[in-house]
Order: sequence, then structure tokens, then C-alpha cells
Amino acid sequence: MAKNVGKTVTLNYLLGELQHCDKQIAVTSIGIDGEGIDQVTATAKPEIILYEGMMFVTSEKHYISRQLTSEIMHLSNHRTSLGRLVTAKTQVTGKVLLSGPADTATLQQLIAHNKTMGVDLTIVDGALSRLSLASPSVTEATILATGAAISAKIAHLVKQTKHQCDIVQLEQVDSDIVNKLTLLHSGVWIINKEGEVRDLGVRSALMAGRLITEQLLNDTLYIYIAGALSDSFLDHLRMQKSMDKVTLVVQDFTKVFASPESITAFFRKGGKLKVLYKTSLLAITVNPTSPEGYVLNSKDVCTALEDALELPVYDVRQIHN
Amino acid sequence: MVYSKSPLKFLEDLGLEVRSSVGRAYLNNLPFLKDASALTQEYQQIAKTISILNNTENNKVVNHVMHQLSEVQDIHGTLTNLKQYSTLNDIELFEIKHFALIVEDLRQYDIISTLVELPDTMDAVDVLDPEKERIDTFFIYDSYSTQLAEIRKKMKASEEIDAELFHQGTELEDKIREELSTKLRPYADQLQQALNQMAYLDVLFAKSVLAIKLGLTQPTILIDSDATSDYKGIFHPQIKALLKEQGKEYQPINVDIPNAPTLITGINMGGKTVILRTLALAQYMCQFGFFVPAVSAQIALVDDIMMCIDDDQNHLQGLSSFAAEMKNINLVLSALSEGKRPLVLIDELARTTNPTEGSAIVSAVLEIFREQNVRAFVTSHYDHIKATCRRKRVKGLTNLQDIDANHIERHIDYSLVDDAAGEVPHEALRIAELLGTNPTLIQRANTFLNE
Repeated sequence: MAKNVGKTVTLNYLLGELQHCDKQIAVTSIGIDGEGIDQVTATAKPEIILYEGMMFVTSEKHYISRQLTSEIMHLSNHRTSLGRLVTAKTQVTGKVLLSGPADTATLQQLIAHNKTMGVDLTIVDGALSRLSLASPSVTEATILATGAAISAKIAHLVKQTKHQCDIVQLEQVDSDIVNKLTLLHSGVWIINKEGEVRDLGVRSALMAGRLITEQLLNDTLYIYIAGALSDSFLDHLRMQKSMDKVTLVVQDFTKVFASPESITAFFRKGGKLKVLYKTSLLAITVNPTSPEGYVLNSKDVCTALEDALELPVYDVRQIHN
Repeated sequence: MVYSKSPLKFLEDLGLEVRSSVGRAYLNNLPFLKDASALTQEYQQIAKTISILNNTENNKVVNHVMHQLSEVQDIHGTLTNLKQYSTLNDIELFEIKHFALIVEDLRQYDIISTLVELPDTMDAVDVLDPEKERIDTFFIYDSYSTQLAEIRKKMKASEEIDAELFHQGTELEDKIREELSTKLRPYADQLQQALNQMAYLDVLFAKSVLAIKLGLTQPTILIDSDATSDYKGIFHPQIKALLKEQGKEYQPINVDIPNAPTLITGINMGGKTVILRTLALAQYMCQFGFFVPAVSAQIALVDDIMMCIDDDQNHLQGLSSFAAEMKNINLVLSALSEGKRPLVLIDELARTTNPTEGSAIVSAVLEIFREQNVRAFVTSHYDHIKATCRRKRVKGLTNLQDIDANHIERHIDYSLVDDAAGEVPHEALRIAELLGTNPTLIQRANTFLNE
């Protein structure tokens, strides 16, 4: 969810747990990660530890400076700012800086290519600022990392995290609706009471506001936005009298660009927002230490989050030890 | 000269598909050949490759070779490092092993050895594959040093990551990298040669696939540089494809290019500009060592192709059409004075000025070209061009019943015919009418014409 919430610690914990499993694991990252020093806040940052047999994908620059013994399996033609991407297999456990592809398409290709090389599971070290990579079209499951870096007040931290979880876990529409909409990649579409799909004839939701009239809402069951959902569209829909009669649909949670305030207001008035593809959120990790150094009570935070989110919550500092 | 894009960009637009970055680099440095025997040899290579590609029995091997070519990385920089006594890092060593294994793989196929002679790179592979596994992965293997193997064993056994052991291992690895680089150095030239051959092979396959795809033909090079080039059924592949998309048919034509200027006249929409573009393309393809778009072709080699076709490029440079044209004509004339023998293609010379002076300019240019035996095609709409030169005309409108305004091209015969009289066709108004131009305008224009 933010910098310094313990993403890397979470990853290291996961890798530690996976080191003895018989599946072939590969790890990569979105852009640069695993720096010795965090590039934003200059706080010390744990490096990524890879165990014997695990594969990883990183740039040439970070491959050369790795602190482990590994065998090069593949060298990609794709160039990042740090050189080509090297796929390698760890021979002797050690540390490495991960810097993978910075765009969705390359990451998708990389995951597919890993599969051809016998990889069972590719773990991507992500970032909410690169949310599109958590789309179910790229990755199958997500772990959300939160922490004191978000807020020093437990109540506020829980509220923010819950909001993010609610968006990540937006409900999926019925499969017949998914089938009707899945091939539409742009524009704004409606499904009326007869089940007919109709194009509203605008390229994005930004222009669709004034087309959403009371008359239209009375005959509509679903509004599908094939692109990004913005505040302005959501606010406009909320203000309509019959807004609660329709279900708003987006491709997946990464398409929701509306602010927490807009979304909350929309839900409070009875608005329905669903996705074509649901993300599987496995767990929440929490880092009770903020970059400024104050520490929240681990047990309090975990309990508060568990109660609010109904998901497994782990304290990254404790799982690390 | 007046080509807005590099001629090789044109070849890519035609669908030329090289698979490797070394192939692309090779393509970008293709020379414009003026050597008949080198060209003929290259055409024979293409013919050989085409027959390999056309034999369905080879399909599986060909697909494999194409895939291997796409895997070739440009290791030129690595080889340069090696030759300059650098110690290579793991990625560079991997690159060499990966490449040498592809070379070894391709060497075993007859279809490859009939086309190129790939040097033996097995010795280089052996250096990087001490366990002779022949798998294209690489690391500093345990078998390079018992001492290293020992350290790694200890590292694996230890619970924590042991920094001291790691540094000892790194020192040993560095020493091995140095040794490997020394052992590889004698093979650097061989590897370089293999890399060049791979690039050539990639381009050769691309040329041959293109020839099959577009229906290109092997040209005969005319040794006598004064001989007349002769194309039967020449066509422009891109325009042909475009027309096909629209459900229209392309009419290939016969054209000869003597060692003297030709004045081309013809109706609007008669394809005069297309002829010039096609001739330029065919000459480029020929001299870059490609098959050409025609049913048959006998081609005399030229020193350069100089085109003057208005394609908006001039306007971007802030020159008026007329100024740009005059600048280009000057370039042609100075090339001639340097003794160059170019193919000159000029579209509607001096069209933006008044017909009196315009036709005088055209006459003068043709006159100079005739005196200097310049292989040139010049198109014009002007009457009264006094110069003595060969004249050709697009045959033009035929079969005028049931004209379909959307398919005027069906009523145009694009072939070039002799036009001794030199009368320019007066069919602009007829064409305008067919295009559905405002009838009042057509009527008024006809009235003026008949005054």
C-alpha cells in the first residue's frame, strides 16, 4: 500500500517458507526493488534472499552484482534501464537485488516464458503505484502489505487498509454477464432489462456522464466501463435518483481510479460496483514500525485488522524472526 | 537522394522480416552494389534458398533454423571485449556459449551448409561446457576448481549466509573467469566470422521469404552499362496489396529504360507516379541484392537512383515545391558533371509554374539528358515540349460504357504505348466528370475550352 510497509520482508518470509517445497519457484519484481537502501526514504531495507534451486529474473546490472551463486538460464532481448533481463537459477543461497520489467505486457510475457522453463509459481514483488500489474490478467493472487507508514493511528490504518481491501476484493458479476462483456476493451456499455448489450458510443467514462440519464437507468441493469473508473463518473452516477437500480461493472480492481471518498459515498447511497475478474487476496501483512521510527503494538494492530478484514494478518517483523 | 525514407525502410514496409538484431544491423549496412558478378552470386543464393523453402520436406528444419536465428543475440560487443583482453563476466560468457551452441546446431544441417560455411565453434563450447552437457545455461561450474567446489559445499551446509566463504568463492570465480577468457580469446575471430555468417543467413532467408511472398523474380544483370533495362509485368507490391484489399486488381505493365531520357504523358490517375516509384523500387531491390517485382527483368546497373517526387517532405523543410524541384535538378546535373550514371526519375517537372516557362524547363532538362545519355523518366502534363526524345503515354481511358465512378480504374489501361506525336491527352475534364465533380463546373470548363 505504501513505501516501508514491509513488502520485501513479506517476500523474504514467503521465500523462506517456500524453500523446501517441491515446486519450481521464480521471483521477479516490478522495476527496481530489493535495493540495499530504500531509494525514497533512505531507510535500511532488507535484501531478497533466494534459496538453492529458486529461479529469479533481474537486470544485467543487478545480476552482475548478485551475492549468490547462480546459473544463467536465459537472456531476454527486452531491455530495461539496467540492461537486459537475466533469468537464472540459484545454486548457492544468497542475496540479490531484483529489477524486473516495468510494464504489464513484458511481465505477462515473462511469466508465460517462465512456465515454458518449468516454473510452477512466479512471485512478483509489486507496488500499489504499479497497480496494473496486480490485475488478475497478470497475476493470479495478491498479498497486500500495510503498516505504520500509512498512519500512526491504528483506527486510521485499519480504515485505509480496509478501503484498499474492499477495492481489491470487489465482487464478481455473474458469469453470463462476464461472457457478454469480456471481449469489450474500450468504451462504455450497458446491458438493459432484456439482456441486450448496447454501446453508449463514447470512448471513455470521462465523456459518459451526461449520457447516464434517469430514463436510461430505469431500463438498465448493468453499466460496464471498459477503461478507467474516475471520480467524475462515479459522482455523477451517485447523484442520480435511480443509481441503486444498476450495477456498475469494471474489468478488475486495477481499473478503479476513483478516490476513497467518492467510492465510500457511492457505496453509502446503495451503489453497486462489481468486476469481471476478481482478485484473490490471500493475506495482509503489517509492518508496525514506521519509517520515522515509532512502533505500534503488534498484537493490537493485527487483531484490529483481522476483525475488520476477515483475512489472515501477519506481522512482518515477527514472521521474519 | 530525394527519398524521404531510407530504401531499406521501404523493404521493411514491403514485409521484409529479419529475425535477429545482427540481421537488422547487417541489413542497415547493405551496400548498393554495382558489381554484376557479386549481385549474380547473391541471386543464385536466393534462388537456392527459395528452392529449399519451397520443398515441403524441409519445413520442420526450416522452422527450427528460423527459430534458432531469432535466438541469436548481437554478441559483437562481447567479442570486442574478448579481443581487447578484457575478462568477461558471466553474462558475456553465457552469450558466447549460447551463440556457439546455436552455430554448432545449425552446422549439422545440409540446407545450411549449402548456403554458408559456418566455422567450427565446438572448441569455444568446450571451454564453457566442462561437463559436456551441451545445454545453453552457464555458471562458473564446480568442475572448474575443486577448491571452489569445496567452498560451495561448505556454504550450502551452513545455516546462515557466510560472508567470508562468499568472498573466498568470489575470488576463485574471478580467477576462473580470467582463465576462461584467456582460453576463449584464440576463438574470437572464428566466433566473429560465425556471427557475420549468421547475420548474412538471417538476411538471406528474409530476402527469399519476401521473394516468395511477393512473387518476385530473379533479375538478369546486363553487363553492358549502356544496355536497355527491360521489365515485363513490373508491379509495385504495396500498391498491389492495397488494391487487393479493396477488391481491385493491379495491372502489371511492361517498361524498358534505355540509356536516354523518356518523356511520359498520360491522363490524370493514369499511374505515372506509380511507374516512377516502381522503377525506383525495382532498381533499389536489384542493386541491394534482392529479387525484383516483375515477371521478368533485365537490368543495367546504375551508380545511384535520383528521384524527384513531391511527397510533402519538401514542404516540411520550408521549401516551395518549385524551389525544391530546382534544387533537386541541380543535384542531378552536378552528379552528371562528376561523371556519375544515375537512374533519374522526375515526376511532373515544373508543374507548379506557368505552362509556357514550365514546358521550356522540361524541354531543356530533356535536351541535356539526351546529350549526356541519361537514363531518365520524366512525366509531364504540358503540351508543346519541343525537345527531341523518346515519348511514351499511358494508354488511358478505354471501354467507357457503364462507368462506375467508384471503379474508374477498371476503365483505365495503364500500359505504356509509344507516343510519337507528343500530343498530351485532354481527358482531365472527362476524368473530373467521372469522379463526380460538380456538373456546373464541368460545363463551364468545357465552355471555356471550346472558346
